Amino acid sequence: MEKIFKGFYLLLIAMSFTACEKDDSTPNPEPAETVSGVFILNQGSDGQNNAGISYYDLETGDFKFDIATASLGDTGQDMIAYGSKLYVSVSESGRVTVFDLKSHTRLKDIDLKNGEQLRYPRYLASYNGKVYVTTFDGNVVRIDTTSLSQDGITPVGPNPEGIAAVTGKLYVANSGGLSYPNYNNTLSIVDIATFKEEETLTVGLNPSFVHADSYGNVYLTYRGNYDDISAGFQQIDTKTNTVTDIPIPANQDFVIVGDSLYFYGVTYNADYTTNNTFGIYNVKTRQLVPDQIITDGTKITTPYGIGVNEKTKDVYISDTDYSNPGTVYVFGEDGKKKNTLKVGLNACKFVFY
Amino acid sequence: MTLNAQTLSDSTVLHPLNEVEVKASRPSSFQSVAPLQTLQAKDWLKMNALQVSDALKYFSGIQIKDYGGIGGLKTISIRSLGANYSGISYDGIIVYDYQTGQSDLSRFSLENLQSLTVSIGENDQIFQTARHRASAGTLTLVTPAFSPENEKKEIKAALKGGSFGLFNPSASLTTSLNKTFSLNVFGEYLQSEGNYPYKQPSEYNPDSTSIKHRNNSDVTYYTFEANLSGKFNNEGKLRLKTNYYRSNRGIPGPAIYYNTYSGERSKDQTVFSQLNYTQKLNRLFDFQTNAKFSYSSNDYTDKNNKYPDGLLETFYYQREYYLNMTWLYTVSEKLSFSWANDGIYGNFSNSFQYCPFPSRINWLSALSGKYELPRFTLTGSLLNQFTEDRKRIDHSTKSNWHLSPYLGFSVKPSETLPVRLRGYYKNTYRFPTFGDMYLSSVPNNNLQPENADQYNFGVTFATSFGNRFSLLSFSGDGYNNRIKNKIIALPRSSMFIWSVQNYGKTDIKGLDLNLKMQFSWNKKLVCSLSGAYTYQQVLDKTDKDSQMYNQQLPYTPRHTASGTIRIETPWGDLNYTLLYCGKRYYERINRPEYQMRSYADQGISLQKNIRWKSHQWLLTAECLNFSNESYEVVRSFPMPGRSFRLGVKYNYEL
Repeated sequence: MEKIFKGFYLLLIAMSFTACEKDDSTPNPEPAETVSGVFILNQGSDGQNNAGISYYDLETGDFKFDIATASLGDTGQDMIAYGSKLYVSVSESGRVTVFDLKSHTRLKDIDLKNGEQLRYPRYLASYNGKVYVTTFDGNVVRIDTTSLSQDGITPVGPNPEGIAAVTGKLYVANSGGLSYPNYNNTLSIVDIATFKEEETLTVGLNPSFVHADSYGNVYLTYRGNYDDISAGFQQIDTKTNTVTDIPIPANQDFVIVGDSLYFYGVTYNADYTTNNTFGIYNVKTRQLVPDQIITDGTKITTPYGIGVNEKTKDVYISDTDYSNPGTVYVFGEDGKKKNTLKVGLNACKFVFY
Repeated sequence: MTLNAQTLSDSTVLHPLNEVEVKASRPSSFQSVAPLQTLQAKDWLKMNALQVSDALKYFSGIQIKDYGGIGGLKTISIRSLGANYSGISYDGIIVYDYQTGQSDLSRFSLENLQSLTVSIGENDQIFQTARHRASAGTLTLVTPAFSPENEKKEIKAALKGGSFGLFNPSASLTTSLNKTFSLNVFGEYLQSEGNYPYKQPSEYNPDSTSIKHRNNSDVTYYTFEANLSGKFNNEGKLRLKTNYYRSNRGIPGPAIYYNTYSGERSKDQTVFSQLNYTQKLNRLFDFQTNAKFSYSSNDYTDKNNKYPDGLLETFYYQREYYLNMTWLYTVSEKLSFSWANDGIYGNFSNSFQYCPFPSRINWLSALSGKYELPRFTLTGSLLNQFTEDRKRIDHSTKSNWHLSPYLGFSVKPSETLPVRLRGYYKNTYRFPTFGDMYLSSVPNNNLQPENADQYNFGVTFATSFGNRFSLLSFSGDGYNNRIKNKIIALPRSSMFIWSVQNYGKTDIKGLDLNLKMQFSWNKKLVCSLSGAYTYQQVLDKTDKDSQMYNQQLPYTPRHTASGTIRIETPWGDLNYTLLYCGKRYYERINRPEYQMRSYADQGISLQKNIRWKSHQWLLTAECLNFSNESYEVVRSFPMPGRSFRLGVKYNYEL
């Protein structure tokens, strides 16, 4: 339930395999050159049927509160751009909804069901003409981007959350989030060619967000048990499948743009006040970068999502109080607030296009 | 109505104003120090009420949280204090739920009740248990009284059927066993498919609506109760009760777009035995003791592939042992005192791997006094509560000690005018439930009790203008409630992970109005009207810097109203009921997009009483929500539209 902005790096990854690209449209040759707007996924609140997608046109400054003319459904979970399309997983409505990136036309609602039961789609990744989505019933579903329909399914661990695609493999975080207090602590590796789980790695307890850099490393945050086992951040070298703890305060969603990994972390004090940390980690030098995401003292109450405009390096941080329509603060590379957007409830993901 | 107003002014001139005692309600809702509203069995027959919650919706100052359908959870909140502040008293003993703080109202059968009373603040009846003093208001459920004296046999039976597969038979038998004891047994069965249609804004076009059916909303339950009543030569009175209840219901969940699946079910079972013994010791002292044992279990299942085995099943159990002793010292006709002591032990467990096995010991002592003159009443009490929570898993204990005062008065300023003024102050501690402490995703053992102060001032008026205009009663109360240390669930880094904290402060200002009138053209043609209105401003006072500051709390409409009209004729009776609920918000911030629109739910029914020798039948035909209004009390939980019920009640005395 947080954010993603996998859009870009997934596009980049996808582009290194354009030989096999069978998406019906040509991927954007150079997305960083063409960023003209940002899609913001508003998760909505549980049981209220109020998920939506806001769009902010960076060129004209036009803002559209919701591009979905028909209701998106309940609980927007993740959103990525791939090819010419925008893929949105709507967890409690059990579907992935696909929009055209340019025209914002709603192309297809892909209901992911098992008999009468929903599969609860969670997080999305793309690779080689396919979109992969974890489903809370313990699977990864493959979606064909031409027919926009499910064309494969494979079991992974319980309640999979984050997913990343690197060199022919999918890395899937098995949270076991519904098995309180026995959360899961594994990462499934699924071979994309055979679409079968090959092995599992032991990672931190209750892993959630998973993203990859361009050097063949996968990163994840884990939630812990909200009690004596705290949340944390890990790196997996996909060449050796070794898991390394990285002692930076990342424990929520994060975004990788180039060599920079933009993260935030939230810890709770006994009196329920929070400590929010924002930072940038260089995946090449493996060092925290001295640059701060926020330098002008802007106070974020509850960060709920992070996005980075690849072109301008502007950082978008969503702030929520779980009741009000959300606020997205835009910070320039210098860490000073440039803009404030009023978005929907619980904004969690950003896609720049 | 204009005709009635005319009648009123004419009568006022013609007849002297008399203060009337509304005999049906003892103690009188007119003379009581704190607001008291009562319904008798014959009253709710007019109100198209199948369940306790249906009847309570006509009271002022009461909010019923209703998730829709017969099987849907229903709880009562008094003056927006929250369900945990309302005690439910069943034949003199408080019923408590250690997991949620309040029992689901649908657990009590209206068919087996004689009266329903809501006392806000405290009841003037001081000869009762200390635990009655521990809630901010009490819903008192009383089953029919019976005693060996009248040596009668009575058989009652009722059958109701209606829309959405409702089938509801019940029967009771009362008989005297000998000169000392008499016995009453009651049984009821109910089943309902509950697959009612509802209107929802269309998923694909928010400007139009689509009709869907509620899924997994069925319920079946049965309940048995046996009562033994004894009256001894030494004027001692005994009442022993055993009750068993079992239900199996689907939990339909919120009505979610593009999703009709729901796999949640709840099977509940409760058994309890309770004893009351009252003894007049001498001219000055009365004594009563109450004892109870109760056991309840809940088997919650969610059939859903998101769980490892495609199924989540959790069992919850709770037990309570209760003992009370109360002494009443009647100094004179005017002055009396009572001293009540209650000892309660309750425990809770579930099938979680790491169940903490919490238990709670409660010692309550209440010293109460009442000074009563014909035109003046003063009551006061001081409640001491000692609470010790234990966890078997680590043998930890935590204890609390709290003192809560109460003071109230009622005065009739003028000898001739049937007007009374009243007021009270009451302090109440609401203890965290085991659900609050252990069942959230982030357990919090350090929760402190919530605390509420209530202030109330009111005026009551009741008179009769003779035979034609036989009753006019009015009450108006203004109040202010302040809650500190409010226990609320806050999301933690995700809206699916909750943490329960002592966080909130709330300020509640409200006004409750009640009006009752009765006109009789002759003995056979009678018209009764009743109306209730509530205004409430319920503001979040937690954090001055927050945008929620001074916002009206979710699900607290500023205006609610209800009304009933009954016309009795020799050919049958016609009843009309109205429930109105104003706009309210479903989020903690009052934005137009979070507003839920107002609604009016209207019902109509026809009744015919037939008597033949010792046999009596009452035939009822009801049309509920006849305007087919689609509305929600809780957002995403639609209520049923138009529906029908037919019923027959049979009564035989010998």
